[in-house]
Amino acid sequence: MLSIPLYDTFLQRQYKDAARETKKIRIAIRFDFQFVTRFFVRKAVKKINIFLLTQVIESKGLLSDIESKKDALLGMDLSETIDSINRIIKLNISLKQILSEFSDHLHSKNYEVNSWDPILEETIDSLYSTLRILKRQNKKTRIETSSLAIESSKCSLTSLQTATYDRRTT
Amino acid sequence: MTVEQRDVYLFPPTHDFELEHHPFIVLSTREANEYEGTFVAVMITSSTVFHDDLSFDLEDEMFENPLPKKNSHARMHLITLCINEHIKGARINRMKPIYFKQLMKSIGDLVFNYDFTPLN
Repeated sequence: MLSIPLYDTFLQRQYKDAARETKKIRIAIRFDFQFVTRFFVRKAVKKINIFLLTQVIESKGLLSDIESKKDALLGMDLSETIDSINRIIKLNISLKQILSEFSDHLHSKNYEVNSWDPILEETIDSLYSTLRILKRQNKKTRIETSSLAIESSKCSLTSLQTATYDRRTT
Repeated sequence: MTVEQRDVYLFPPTHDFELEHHPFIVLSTREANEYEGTFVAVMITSSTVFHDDLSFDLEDEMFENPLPKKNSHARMHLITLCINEHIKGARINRMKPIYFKQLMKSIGDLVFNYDFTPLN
């Protein structure tokens, strides 16, 4: 099993790669491919495909590794790893939106490109699955009942009383 | 009034009027919501004090409209029974299906230790 610092290093590298590719794609969209030939557009699409494929394989590999070794992670402080995965998820959600618009744009210019949605959805799904495992195994600290929790339970009680008796009893 | 799964509504505070209205994401299906004019929803907050492993981070791209506040997150364990007539105003947003699925999976896994993946 990879150690936690190694997971963190791996995730930092994955985040940097994703951030760099996202930046490139944003620039490409901004310039609208006005001054480049179809050859360069096809090359850029190919690079996006390779990046997304690498990312989905890495995300599935990470999930598989963490799932198989989850017992060893129980009670460890995984907060930093959780934060890293949350950042990568956030980036992929943003990338999905950008690529969806980019794909529509390319279609409007008669380029033949497959939708990037399925591969990004698979990546996002793997990352969320990894996140859930880590959150379950993470070291827990008890906190006092929050005002949000009190608010939520009062709201439930009021609704239940209104629905049951058709009047408020508190 | 038809309340749909994935809709977001504002709910008024019940016990402390100094508290802000909170948005809630509807978790229950329309069929269940129509049965008694009630629905089950999860609370959204932008509080940085209560942000932990039971928080599901929310981004603008997860919804049909941008969120009113940055750093919003759903408090996955704060699931509330709501009544239609207490809703403040009209629907304010709607969550996209792919992210709603992840929210439900996370609530199932982390709050109930149960698989909430839909059949279809």
